[in-house]
Amino acid sequence: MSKVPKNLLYTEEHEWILVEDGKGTIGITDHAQEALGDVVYVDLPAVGDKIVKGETFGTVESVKAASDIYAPVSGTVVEVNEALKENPELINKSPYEDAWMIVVELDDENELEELLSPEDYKNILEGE
Amino acid sequence: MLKRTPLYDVHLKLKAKIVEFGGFEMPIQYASIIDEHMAVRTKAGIFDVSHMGEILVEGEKAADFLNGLFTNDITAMKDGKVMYTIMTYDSGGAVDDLMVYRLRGDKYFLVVNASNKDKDFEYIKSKAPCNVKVEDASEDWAEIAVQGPESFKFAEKLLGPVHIARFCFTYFNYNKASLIISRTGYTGEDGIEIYGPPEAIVKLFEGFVEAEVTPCGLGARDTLRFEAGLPLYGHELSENITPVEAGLLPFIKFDKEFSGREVLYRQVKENEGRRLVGLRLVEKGVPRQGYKVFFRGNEVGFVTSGNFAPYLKQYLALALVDLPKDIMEDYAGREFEVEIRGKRLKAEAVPKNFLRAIKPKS
Repeated sequence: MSKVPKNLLYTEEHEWILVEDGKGTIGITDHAQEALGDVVYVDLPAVGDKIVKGETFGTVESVKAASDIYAPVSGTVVEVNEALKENPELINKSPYEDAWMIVVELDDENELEELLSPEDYKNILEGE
Repeated sequence: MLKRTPLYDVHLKLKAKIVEFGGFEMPIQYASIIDEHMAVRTKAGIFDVSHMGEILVEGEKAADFLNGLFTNDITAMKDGKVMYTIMTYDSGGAVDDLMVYRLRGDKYFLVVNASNKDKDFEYIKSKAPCNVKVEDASEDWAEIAVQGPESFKFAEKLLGPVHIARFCFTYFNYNKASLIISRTGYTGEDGIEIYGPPEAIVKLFEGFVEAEVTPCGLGARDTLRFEAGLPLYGHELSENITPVEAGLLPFIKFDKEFSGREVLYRQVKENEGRRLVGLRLVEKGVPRQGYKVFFRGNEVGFVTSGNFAPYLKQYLALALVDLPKDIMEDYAGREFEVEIRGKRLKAEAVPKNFLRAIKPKS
């Protein structure tokens, strides 16, 4: 069973977000990395870019396929994990810690209410 | 209804991820495609390739008949030899690419792609004269491949001394069954392919895994063949891509008659039109089948296969491009672009046999 940390919120497309002081750190879940297999390339936005809830903000490519990453919230990118460009395999090794992708300043904290709780996300995974 | 190979339960026990391929439920990976890939490059890996089709062609005139369908010259073969060939339509397009085993002067064992098996069988049968028997023997044969520099060490542990020259095969007794073992493969490494009845092959596969040969899925099979620059039907070869375009000249013999010969001969003679080239991306990005390729700003073709090559640690592509003759004759090192999600990334032309031609990045 894939890991689903209790301190995060989730999307149905298998992204996670950690919210602290109006900023959200975003990545993809353990389940997502497992389904993708060995990640060999990541395309991420730049600092200053806007992301829009529900729209794609980047791409993860494994040896098998390319997969879009969807924004769990709207906001402005304030930090990008540059280490992933050189070491995309971090996404397989540490999806919730070393392989955080971007930090955004949230446009609207109310958007968080539409995200999945760890329990809800777990239920979705069990149903799959 | 999807078919399963005799090793299906073994794959489940080994926790393989199963996908549909060529009408079969096949393991795409057991753990990590990259780890499996590296095991084959550095040690040894084992693959279930029982989905491959086996067709037996028998009769006094079998050799001449088949030679009229194949680009390569099988009349030059001796018993115990294996030959790679393409089977072409009159149009020059490929019906399939396959391995030909000469069992006897009047009996040939053809190993064909799973997804083309029914088509191949019907095609060969429809062309066969009445005194040549064509039989689909796919159900009787299971097949595994042991590939990598240490393949023979492991094979000898399980089978005793194995002495086979490259592109040759021999018969082996194992577990009361008769096996065909050839020194062939589809990874760019030394190794063997083993054919036999299901029970014996299952036992042998389990023996190799117990001896710690890494089980490898179709994912690694594809990255390995790609990194070695080997063609895959449906990518580098198809009904619409001829073996001349795919650069397979060593396997086409023009001093004999065969379906498609005229078209292929003209393509060689005119030395124009599409050709397969190797590309190494200078910028990071994963090229995939169908992506557009540009030269000096003009669209000149498309990617047939592309990926991150795990051993060479570089992003590579095989691409079918149409360029003026003078450029084509001297294309190595020239700058191309591959369009990935709307962005054009720089790529450098390199020889197609990546594994031999390119140094791994540290």
